[in-house]
Amino acid sequence: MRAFFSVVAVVALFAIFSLVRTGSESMFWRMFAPVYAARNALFASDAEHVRAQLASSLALAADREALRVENEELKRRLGRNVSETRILGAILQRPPASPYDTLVIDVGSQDGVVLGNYVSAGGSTRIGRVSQVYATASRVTLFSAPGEEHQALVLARTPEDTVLPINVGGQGGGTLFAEVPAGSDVVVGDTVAFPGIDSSFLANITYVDAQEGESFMLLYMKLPLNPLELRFVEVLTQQSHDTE
Amino acid sequence: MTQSSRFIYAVSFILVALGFLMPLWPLSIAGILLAAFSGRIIFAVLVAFVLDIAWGAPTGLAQYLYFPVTLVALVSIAVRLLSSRFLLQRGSPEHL
Repeated sequence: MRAFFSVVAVVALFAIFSLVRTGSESMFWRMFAPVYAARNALFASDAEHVRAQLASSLALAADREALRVENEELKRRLGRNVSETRILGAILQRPPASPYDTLVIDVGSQDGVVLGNYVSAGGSTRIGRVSQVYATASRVTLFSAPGEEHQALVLARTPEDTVLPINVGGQGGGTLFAEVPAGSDVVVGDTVAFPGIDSSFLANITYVDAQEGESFMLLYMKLPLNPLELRFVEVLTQQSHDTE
Repeated sequence: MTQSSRFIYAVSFILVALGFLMPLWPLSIAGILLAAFSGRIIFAVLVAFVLDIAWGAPTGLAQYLYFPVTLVALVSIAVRLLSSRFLLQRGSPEHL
């Protein structure tokens, strides 16, 4: 008899526990999340922080890659097929060994590099153009080199998806600047891209200098990567825009 | 409550808490087993239930157990009750 009642009690216990499980889990974590956060902060080392950041970056990169593939597929379906040939080049010299935001790479005319070819750091990010071509090497001038000027578009993150044409100038050290009329709807974090069907990424806006009473405001931008840390680049040797 | 009882409660709780925070689940299970085998039935079941809540619904084959840690506590309690009865019977004067 006692055994029977024990079994009934256990079954009843499990039934009650099952009913309150979901609400209890939510309440438990609401109470103990700060404890666990404190524990993670206490025992986290720099290496763990960096690993966590790397994991987030990898996830973001995978997400961007999926969007890029979808973007190209949509363009193909709408009759705009953008294809390009890329040559991988190793960087032989980078700043400060090479002057004024230039790179020397190990591919030249023998590999199909031509003066004026765009150079990418990977994906759709363009960082410069081939300014001198030798037989087995080339010099790349980054867009951030002093004196460089290029037409670009600010893709502002507004509800109306404002696109603002700008003239981007190089400041050296991987930084760029542009002037826009005061009151323009531009904020830090907005993307700057080259015009065209392939929407090549150029830089992110890192600072907006808007002085009261001035007619223009200055946008300061940074290349998405540090030219000092680059090891490889891709030379875009042939671009074709097929229109059906 | 005796001193030893308080000691057992404290050690069990510390083992379960440490196992949860480190995280090292065998430590938590050890704490529950200590409570169950030392006869602290309600404490063992309650702490096991809280652990099941914290760790969430099990996945894989364990999903059929619903509350695996609570089940471990109940089984330990049953083992303790049966073995203590068996030992009592062995020690009973009737069986000398």
